[in-house]
Amino acid sequence: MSRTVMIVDDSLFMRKILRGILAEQGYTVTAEAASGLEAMKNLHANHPDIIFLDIILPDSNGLDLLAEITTVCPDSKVVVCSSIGQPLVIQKNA
Amino acid sequence: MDMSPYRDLFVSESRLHIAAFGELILRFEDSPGESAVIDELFRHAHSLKGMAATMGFEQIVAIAHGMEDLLSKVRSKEAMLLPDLADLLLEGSDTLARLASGVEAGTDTGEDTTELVERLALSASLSASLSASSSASSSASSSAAATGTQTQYPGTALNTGANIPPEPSVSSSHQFRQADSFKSIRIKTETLDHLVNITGELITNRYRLTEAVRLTDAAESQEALHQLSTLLRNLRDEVFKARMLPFAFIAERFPRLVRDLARKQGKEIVFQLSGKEIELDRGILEDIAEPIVHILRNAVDHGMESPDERVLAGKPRSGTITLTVRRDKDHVEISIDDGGRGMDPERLKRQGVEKGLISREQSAEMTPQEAYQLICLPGFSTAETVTDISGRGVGMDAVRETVQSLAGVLTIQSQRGHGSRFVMRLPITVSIIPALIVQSGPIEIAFPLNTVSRTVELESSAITCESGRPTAIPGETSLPIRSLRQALNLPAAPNSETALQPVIVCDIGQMLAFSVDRIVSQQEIFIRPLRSPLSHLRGVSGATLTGDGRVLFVADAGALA
Repeated sequence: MSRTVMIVDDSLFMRKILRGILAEQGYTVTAEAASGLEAMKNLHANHPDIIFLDIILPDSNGLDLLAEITTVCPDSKVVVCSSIGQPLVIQKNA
Repeated sequence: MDMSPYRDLFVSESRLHIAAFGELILRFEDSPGESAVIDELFRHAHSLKGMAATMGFEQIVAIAHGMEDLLSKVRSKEAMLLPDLADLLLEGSDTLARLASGVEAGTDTGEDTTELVERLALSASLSASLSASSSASSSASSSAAATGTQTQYPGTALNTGANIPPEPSVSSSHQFRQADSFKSIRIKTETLDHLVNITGELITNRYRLTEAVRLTDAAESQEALHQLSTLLRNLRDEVFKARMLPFAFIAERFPRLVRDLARKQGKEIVFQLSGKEIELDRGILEDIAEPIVHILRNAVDHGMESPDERVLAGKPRSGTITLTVRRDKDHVEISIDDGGRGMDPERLKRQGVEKGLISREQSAEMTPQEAYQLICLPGFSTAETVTDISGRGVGMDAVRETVQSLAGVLTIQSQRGHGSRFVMRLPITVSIIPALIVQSGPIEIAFPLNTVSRTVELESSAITCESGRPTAIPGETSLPIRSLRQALNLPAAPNSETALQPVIVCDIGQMLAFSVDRIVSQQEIFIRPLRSPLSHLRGVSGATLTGDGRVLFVADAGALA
């Protein structure tokens, strides 16, 4: 059975790019979310296998969302994506 | 991976971030400590950086990163809020806008941005040192900046870890906001224009079909035709809805414009904008932006007094320019109040006479209301009104022309010592509008209904035509009535036998009246712009196709008067 993939990013541009990269690798993105709210809705409804998660979202902090994901879908694999360079955020959540 | 398919999307999304960024900086300047604003600024810079990095646009990455870093430190209070911080951030966002345009055009702007990036980095480190040791004077810091000395600034939070900056989004609980990006898609504006054109043609075609069915008396077609009309109305409404954009779409640059101009002139101005959520057709928005810029510029340049002058006049040093957008049924009113010195009608009249635009007699009879309209005459504004913002000379005559070409009306009110008020009343959609079709001699011409205030019938003998002398019109003040035949250079009517002659009264900021031969009908028309050489025709602002396939011109009442 093919895996379900969700992309969480507020940027349409980033979602498209990521979708393109994943398609090249043979993965089909089954859901996209542009906000924490949309992500949570999809999470509860579909329990995606793989989640690409941007940590800066307009309505929520992706890291808080990560905690929520691990509770709701403990089996989901989460890839955190960000271009954030501020070391403390990275350390704190390492 | 070939990134070229993503370039358009990159440009359009970047623009959204840059525009939002510019607006936020001004809010940031108003209330520098507001963490929600800094968070938003940070988020936009960050998103832009990520996108640019993905595309491999190093210059954009470096600037966006510099801004993001600076903001991150301001947010964590490692960096102090320096007064010129907003200027630096604005410079950054302007540079980003230019680079994004370069990406769009597929050209390298050739701009050297290393110096800007250095200043962003320096600003972040300098302000950090200032806040860390309050004794450090700004002159010492700037001398360090000037010589580029590598100084180790002690006590920054990153080193001590004592002051942990909050995370990118400060809310620790899930405070979700509605995001509706999946409920909308982006469409090329050309596509929307095509949709309007096709809809317009369909409506015209419907009139022809109705006519044809009426002639053949095909009763069974009636029901289908009726349904077609209803569907077409729905289609028209939906197409228009798709073209609507909030006023905010063009308003982003206005606060910045007023701020920069005021600074340059040493004036203290608060800019207030209300109603930016009100929606208008994007074509109207596009056309009206430049006139608004011009009026705002005039308000700062000429309307608003200098702080000293204001104090002398017993006013607060700082003045307020207000831009208000208001919906009124199927119209939108955009008004700009400057609360400044106001205009002197006598002075305007004198200038009008001096420039040979009006005669001394005309000036004597002018009401203040009419005198204000003088500034809209071609040749009244002088070189001083050529804007250096747009780089083009746009006078008030061009402003009035644009408003009228949109089937709108410009009114000017002023009170000496209390300021001037420019009001642009515009239809919320263009292209398909109700019009009154009138006939003069062999010519039928359409007057947009929003410019017609009423129609009356007067006894021909009561009309003192051609003399320019006013005729009493029931329910109106006396107005000079112009014969439309004469306005259109048609031969005068053969001695009119008809006792009653229709007169249409137009209100386009000034009241005008035209006598016509016949009022033909009222119908919806789809206005098409005239192209060269027809665009030079005086007195007409466009053309439309009637149900029976004839071309009608659309009257420009102001130019016909």
